Amino acid sequence: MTAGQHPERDLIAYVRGELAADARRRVAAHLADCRACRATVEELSAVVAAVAAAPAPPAPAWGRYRADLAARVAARRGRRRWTVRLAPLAVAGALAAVLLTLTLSGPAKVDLQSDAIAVLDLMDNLEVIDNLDRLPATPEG
Amino acid sequence: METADEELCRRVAAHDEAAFDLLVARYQERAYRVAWSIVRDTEDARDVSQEAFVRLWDTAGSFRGQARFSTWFHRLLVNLALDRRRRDRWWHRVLGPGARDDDPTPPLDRLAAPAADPGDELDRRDLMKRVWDAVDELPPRQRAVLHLQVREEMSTGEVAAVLECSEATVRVHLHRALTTLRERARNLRTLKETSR
Repeated sequence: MTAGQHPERDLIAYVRGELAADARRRVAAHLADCRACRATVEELSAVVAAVAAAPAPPAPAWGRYRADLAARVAARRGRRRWTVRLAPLAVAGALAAVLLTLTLSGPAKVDLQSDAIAVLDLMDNLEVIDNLDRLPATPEG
Repeated sequence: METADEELCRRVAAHDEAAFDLLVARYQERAYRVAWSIVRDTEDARDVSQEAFVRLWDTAGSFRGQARFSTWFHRLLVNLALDRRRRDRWWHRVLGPGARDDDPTPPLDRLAAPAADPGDELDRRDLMKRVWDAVDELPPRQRAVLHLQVREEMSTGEVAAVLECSEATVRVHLHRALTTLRERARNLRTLKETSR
């Protein structure tokens, strides 16, 4: 870091206390003479503090969570055996449900859509659904 | 003396249910929090975090002890969450209303009552809300890095191990995330100053 250069990328590490001692001293010395970088450090500190203070998500009922998890683990062992046998039939059934739903129109469409969603969710849980995904994925971010 | 996570994981590989229950108890809250920070939906967070534990049960034998258990488990969890966020269940978008049903309580209402000057406190709350809203809009990977480093207090090295990328990449993600949030905060301040 030469005189006059602003250590922009180091400022985040400085705020987080992740700089090595020498680098920390260099940045501190720069900050003593640079109002712009001091303002940046202040802004970054406020943002980091805001993120750290964000409320936690609403917690699930942990008793129910543990019971559901136990059921999933128990089902996992049994599911693998019959999934292999029934997968081709299940895939054909899911495809038929989806195609029927997508080509229908009118008042009956809503119920069939819900059924198709339920079938596809089940197929997802059986880890069969990946092969049915024909639409482009949403771009990450 | 508490049994180390790594030893518990070895026992889980032998299908020791007590060891599994203990690991779940230790990690369930954090797993749920981390999952939620990426998927931003309570039901998906519950599902993804549970799936991570199921995968732990299935694949504990693949944990070799070269990394910490925490790193290995977080990697599994974050990958599941990112994958869920990316796929976003296309059939829900195509066939269903696709509404997310997160806690309807506004985030600010979940904060404790302020003690400081009301005017300053309003500015602080505005800033915080602006930052929290902006976090929601970050790309999932940036949000993951932000949460793991700022909320879970993991080091750059640990996050790099979780995301299986370089430390430089982690720093870039964090830099971009904080730059975006800082711009949002700065825009709010400018707005307030011009309206006075």
